[in-house]
Amino acid sequence: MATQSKRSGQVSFGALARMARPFPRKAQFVACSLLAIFIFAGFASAQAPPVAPAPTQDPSAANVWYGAVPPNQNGAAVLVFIHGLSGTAMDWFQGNDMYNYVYAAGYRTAFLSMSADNSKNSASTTDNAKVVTNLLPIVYAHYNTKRAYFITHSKGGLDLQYAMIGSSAVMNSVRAVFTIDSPNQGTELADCATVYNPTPPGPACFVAAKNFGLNTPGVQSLQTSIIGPFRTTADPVFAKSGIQFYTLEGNTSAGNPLTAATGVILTQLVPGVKNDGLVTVTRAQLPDSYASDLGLLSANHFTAVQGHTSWPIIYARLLAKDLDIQEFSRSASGGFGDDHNTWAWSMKWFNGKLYVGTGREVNCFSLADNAVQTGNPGSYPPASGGCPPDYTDLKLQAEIWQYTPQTHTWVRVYQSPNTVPLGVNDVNGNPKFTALDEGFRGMEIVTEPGGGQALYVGGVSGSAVYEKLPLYLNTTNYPGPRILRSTDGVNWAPLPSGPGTFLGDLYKNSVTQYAGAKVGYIIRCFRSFKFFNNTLYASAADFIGTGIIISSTNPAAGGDAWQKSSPPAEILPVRSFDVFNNQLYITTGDSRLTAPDPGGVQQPIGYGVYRTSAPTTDINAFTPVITNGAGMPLGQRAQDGLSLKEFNGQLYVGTDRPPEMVRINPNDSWDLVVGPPRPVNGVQRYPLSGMSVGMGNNFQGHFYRMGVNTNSKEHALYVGTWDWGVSLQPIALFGQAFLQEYGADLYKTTDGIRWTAVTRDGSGDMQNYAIRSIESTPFGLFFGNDRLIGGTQVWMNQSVLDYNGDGAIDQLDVNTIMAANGLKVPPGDPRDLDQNGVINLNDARMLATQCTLPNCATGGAPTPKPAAPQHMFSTDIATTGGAVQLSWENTGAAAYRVWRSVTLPALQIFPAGFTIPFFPGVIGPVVIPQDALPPSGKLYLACQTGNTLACTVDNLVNGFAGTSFPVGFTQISRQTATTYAEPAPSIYPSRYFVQAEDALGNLSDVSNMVGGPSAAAPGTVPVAATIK
Amino acid sequence: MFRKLALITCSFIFFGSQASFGSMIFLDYLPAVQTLSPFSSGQVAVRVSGLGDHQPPSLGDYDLNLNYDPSVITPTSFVFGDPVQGDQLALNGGSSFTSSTLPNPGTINIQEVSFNDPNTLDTQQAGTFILGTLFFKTGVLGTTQLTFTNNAFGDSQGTELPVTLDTGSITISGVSSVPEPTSVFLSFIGFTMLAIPVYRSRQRALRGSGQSHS
Repeated sequence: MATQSKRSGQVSFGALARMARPFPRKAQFVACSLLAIFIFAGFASAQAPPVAPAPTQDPSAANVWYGAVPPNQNGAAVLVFIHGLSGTAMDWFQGNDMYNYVYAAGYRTAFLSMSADNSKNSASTTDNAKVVTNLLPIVYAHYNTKRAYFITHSKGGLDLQYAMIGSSAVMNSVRAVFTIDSPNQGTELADCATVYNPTPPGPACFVAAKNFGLNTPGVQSLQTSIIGPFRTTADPVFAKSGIQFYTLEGNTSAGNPLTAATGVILTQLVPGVKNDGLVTVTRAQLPDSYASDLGLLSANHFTAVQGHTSWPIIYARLLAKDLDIQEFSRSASGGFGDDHNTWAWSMKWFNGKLYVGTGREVNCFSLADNAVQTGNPGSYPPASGGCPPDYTDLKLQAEIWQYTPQTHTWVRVYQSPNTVPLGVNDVNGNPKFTALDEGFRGMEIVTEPGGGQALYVGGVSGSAVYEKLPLYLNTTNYPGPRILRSTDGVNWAPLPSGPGTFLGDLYKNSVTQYAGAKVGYIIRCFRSFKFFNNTLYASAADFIGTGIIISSTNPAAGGDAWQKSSPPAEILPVRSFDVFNNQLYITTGDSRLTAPDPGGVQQPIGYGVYRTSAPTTDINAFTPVITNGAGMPLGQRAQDGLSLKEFNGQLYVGTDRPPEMVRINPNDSWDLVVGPPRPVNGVQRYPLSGMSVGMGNNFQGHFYRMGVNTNSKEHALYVGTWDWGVSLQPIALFGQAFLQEYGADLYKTTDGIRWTAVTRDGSGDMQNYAIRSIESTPFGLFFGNDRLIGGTQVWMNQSVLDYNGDGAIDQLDVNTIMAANGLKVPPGDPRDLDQNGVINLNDARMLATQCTLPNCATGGAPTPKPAAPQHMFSTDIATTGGAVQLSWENTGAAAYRVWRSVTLPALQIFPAGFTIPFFPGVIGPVVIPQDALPPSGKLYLACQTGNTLACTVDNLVNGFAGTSFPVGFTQISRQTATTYAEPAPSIYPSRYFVQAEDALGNLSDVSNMVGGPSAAAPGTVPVAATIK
Repeated sequence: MFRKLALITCSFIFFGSQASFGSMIFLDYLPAVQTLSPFSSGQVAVRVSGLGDHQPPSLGDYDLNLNYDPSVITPTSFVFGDPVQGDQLALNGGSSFTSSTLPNPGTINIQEVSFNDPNTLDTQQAGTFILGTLFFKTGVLGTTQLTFTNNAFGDSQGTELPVTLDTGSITISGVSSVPEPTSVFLSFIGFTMLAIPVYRSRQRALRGSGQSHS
């Protein structure tokens, strides 16, 4: 296969590689979402719910209407609905099946009228914000809850946003916001309706508005000149709040006399942009730094709010978010204010602050690399999206950001100089330059010979893309990658690496070494770092991330103070390393290193793990612990090891495509934790977790990064994934089945066997498609995302500071420190925030800066939830004979809810003949599967010429790791028993978890997740003897 | 010889003080020296100075031991906060954790942790203020030195601040609660001689940083 793609520094070839390519960005997403017209209408009509019991009015507030509480749903999430301009609460349940859908889905509901007498409302956003603020306490009291989800239509979305900005109580009570056709950026129609504009269609618009009585305070408040300043104020607040927003937009003005007329005017006002008759698509969207656009609806401004039109989309994301464990909050978004910072590529805690190294436009850069290095120029620019047409215009100045927990502030402490000449000029004739570092990929703290500490950061050069420009072609003159160093986190300098020195010539020498080679490891970055035995080890790698180890006992000296410390990458393709059992453990693998399978097809030889106490260029210095993909047959081996972390005395290793996990014991024995059973040296091995690749989800491409978090309740290992489902988002059609799964997953375990999904949906934002960096700090566990649009985000889990485990950081936790004042503690004590070995009042003060509520007041703890089962167990397939048998411990709950996600073959999800009527870059409708098949399927051919979206779909159809994919979770049982059994719903294991329900109907977090039937060894019994 | 020694001593005091005061933050007793009659009531304030005046550095927490001779005074209470400016670690309607204990004879431990956010402390806290006031009963004749032991002294972010610890004294005089004129005169001369370099040094430091010392 002639394709090569790189993302995240992982190599990818062939069919799997195509999935890794970035998909087009927002514009394409919007365009392709037109497909939803057909799909969701059909989807809804097939599952129309029964009529729900009529809502009732609040006895004291006539404009608050409560939907009936579905049976056994007394503790379900509350959804608050806010109508639009000239609307009432009844808009949601009279002449609209929205309420029927929501009731059938099991939610509690409240519908607000902005007019006290339920008359049609045309008040301003500021007036209605007061109404919302006043009514919400009534709703919360009615349902005895503190928080709710909000579904808003049109101006109602802004009424709510104004209320959020005006009231911290409202703001703090919002779990997520869905806006349907809301003029989030104002609307040009409001401009022309309320302010006379002599330019056509201004006069007609103004007169018509006057004649129809539309020049109201409500319409006036939607002027773009009014909403614009509001956005300037509100957007930073919303971005910082961590509250997830979702937007949906109608795409047609047809079907309603009013919108048909206004749509014409709006089209005249804003030509070329789709509108729903009253609002253009772009005006209905919110910044993608904090909002997810769920795409276009085949609806006008009024039909968009119909349940059968928008509810299936809302429900998928709402359910996914509601099943997430609310452990993490957002610390940074929008790429720290610059959405060209698309990845949080490295992360390190140093001297009381957190440092994040960014990757700039990594997906665009990867596509450009693909185009340049593989001779597949069709890869760049993508057919649509945010990449500039000319890759010499990429904005690649990588940055280092510093976070101070006490002030909750991020500060940029370094930006790579834009000083590399490209030998080409811009449109004004000025020479173009690019950055010395397009990313900062690795970080490590070094105790230097003098005893001081410094932070070292590995850079990524732009050579992969720009070395073949005429200025550098056939030379070795392009600047090599750099290592930066700082002792204070503020002042940074590159290590000396002059020409002629070891460090300075790494790139040059690798170009020379691999000139003409079929597989070459041109050193373009420093990826992995570890300070071990007074030596700094770094991997000098190609853009993919495979390379060699270099080392220095005096790293600050740079130049010839460094040396090579591993054999050539062809022999030991180094990926990542960490210290375990007082040795350096190294993961290896490269999909370009292949061997023929029994059919003669070249297949990656698979990942490996080696250990050494003293790395040298002699391969004998490295002891193999795992080789050849841990025993999987050629063709099924994970290609490289990506992540590794010590946890509870064992070293966990996660791999790249397919993502499996092993754990290594100090005696070099190892266990398969996640992955398919396989014989190894004549002994059959089974996954301890009972789950196969990707935790039973083939959208997972990597077990990308790991981290450890300890709080008062648990000591847990976390693993974050790369979820390639993001690539399918442009085809809204696929959302019907997969929308719940889009976004990176994060799992945690306390024993390495039972894994719980903290999030399966990118923490609520499906653009968060990967978790690339994880760092444990005294102030919590942080992770950074990879994103295509909107800039990277950083999330944090501060449960480590919640010493009493009540869900809030407050004076009670401060008291915990005060009680230990003066106590000398070993490293890692969670009360010793400044890590000086003594607990004192400075630690208390640091904690006080992290309190949930102002003044460290108590009362910020969330409503207690019933305890979730932690020991769900799935009986192995051999024992059950193929059926599913689940059991879990009795937590004393009144009932348990069993959830299941069935894994199905792709072609069963989308049966043969499935037609995608419009596919970007492909002429005519695409029919699955024939159009995806080589050698002449048009989707297949489009992929070959660089259509990344075509590659993604082509791959979905043609197979990846068993060709099965998970459809969304659904509740399949509510029961008092602690066992559940059913015939296997698929030939592939499905995924299950349970929730406990107390007597009041309150629901626990989700339990650990299991595959059913389990792939664990025959006769496996539950791991905990404490199961009741 | 004595003159030379005095010069050296004075130089040491002056330049040493200046170097020490380069950190600019002081803890002292107010009044630094006082004379009281036996079996009476008294008070002495604990003052911090040299912080940023409505700018960093500000004080976010402290844990101090106030050391004294228990045969000379007997503490009765410790009241946190500045009598005029209020508690500067509980600004803007905020609160703080406070604690005063007697861990052993001769030591009062005072602790305070602000619950204000760092920005509030950095922008609203005065540069000089009273942490709190110690109330006590006097005993029999004698003099007690007042000293500090610094267990923690953190800024708005909980980072340890360098602080210079001054001393004070309380003398219990049985002759009279009012010092004799000669004693007053001698004391005035003596304290003035000692205080001048200290005062000048502080003023220089404060002027140098553009801070007021109100």
